[in-house]
Amino acid sequence: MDRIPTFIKGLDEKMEGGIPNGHVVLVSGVAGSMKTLLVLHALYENVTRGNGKALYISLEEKRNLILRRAGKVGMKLAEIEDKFAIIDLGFLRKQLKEFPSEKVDWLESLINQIKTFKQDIGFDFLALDSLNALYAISDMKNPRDQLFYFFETLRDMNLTAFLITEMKGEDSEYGQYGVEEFLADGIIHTDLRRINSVMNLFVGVVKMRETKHDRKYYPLVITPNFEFEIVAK
Amino acid sequence: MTTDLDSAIEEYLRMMFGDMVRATIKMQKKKLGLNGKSDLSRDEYLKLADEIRKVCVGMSGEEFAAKIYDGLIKIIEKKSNQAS
Repeated sequence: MDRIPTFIKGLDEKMEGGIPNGHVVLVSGVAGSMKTLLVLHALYENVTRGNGKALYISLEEKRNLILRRAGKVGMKLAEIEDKFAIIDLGFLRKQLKEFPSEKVDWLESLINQIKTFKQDIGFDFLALDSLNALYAISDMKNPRDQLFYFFETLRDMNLTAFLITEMKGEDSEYGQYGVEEFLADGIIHTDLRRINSVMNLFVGVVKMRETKHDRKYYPLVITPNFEFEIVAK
Repeated sequence: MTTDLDSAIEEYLRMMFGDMVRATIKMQKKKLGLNGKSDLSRDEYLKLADEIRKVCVGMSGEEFAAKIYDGLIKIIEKKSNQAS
């Protein structure tokens, strides 16, 4: 498959059918702007349609909470565990806190772990939730260099990666160190905007290499049938 | 069989725990009061496998943990048979 659809109705059509296979894409937005659900939705739809297997690595949110949140919008993740693995590294982090003497280079460790997973069980889509959490537990002495290596490693692994990043405000950069937006092949930005007394969710494709794409922001809605779609006139 | 088996277990669990594998195993041994013990019995290894399974359940759910556990048991049994 050349392109990976996001299965957000209307949005894929505005970027030649989806994300080019093998891209490393940032999914950035402020807290509560549905980044996690958007990524879970894209992966779930691709996996259930037989487009590949997924690995979702959570560094903060508990696995059970992810399953519950996804279930609320119709995703039965527990039923496809063999094709959609959710690894809760936050659980391990908590356990290892009892061993303060064990110094772990989380960034390096995560890279090795992803490589081993790829080799041993194989997967086509990777999601990391979130880059901010990874920074918080890693020794980022030289972020530009370390992130260059991280992004390049993902790119060399023949997978499509979604890296979730939390923005502090609508005007902040898409990644914490300001280099992520150059290193990433694509940026999907989710945004919350108050219109009158209602908080509305918007989504826009800020960057997508090798793709002619619309740069407008569109309201994002989830229909009663749990379809994700943009409102485009 | 300890050193050989420990290395095999560590290598096998690297997928799940990455560079945290040694610390994770050490932590489970500590829970079982086996930390520092140089020569574990087959039963102690099986208890260790069960503790590791519990961590895997927390991290990745029952199904994935069961797969990891099955692989771990195979390694322990194989090495035990070789040793006896």
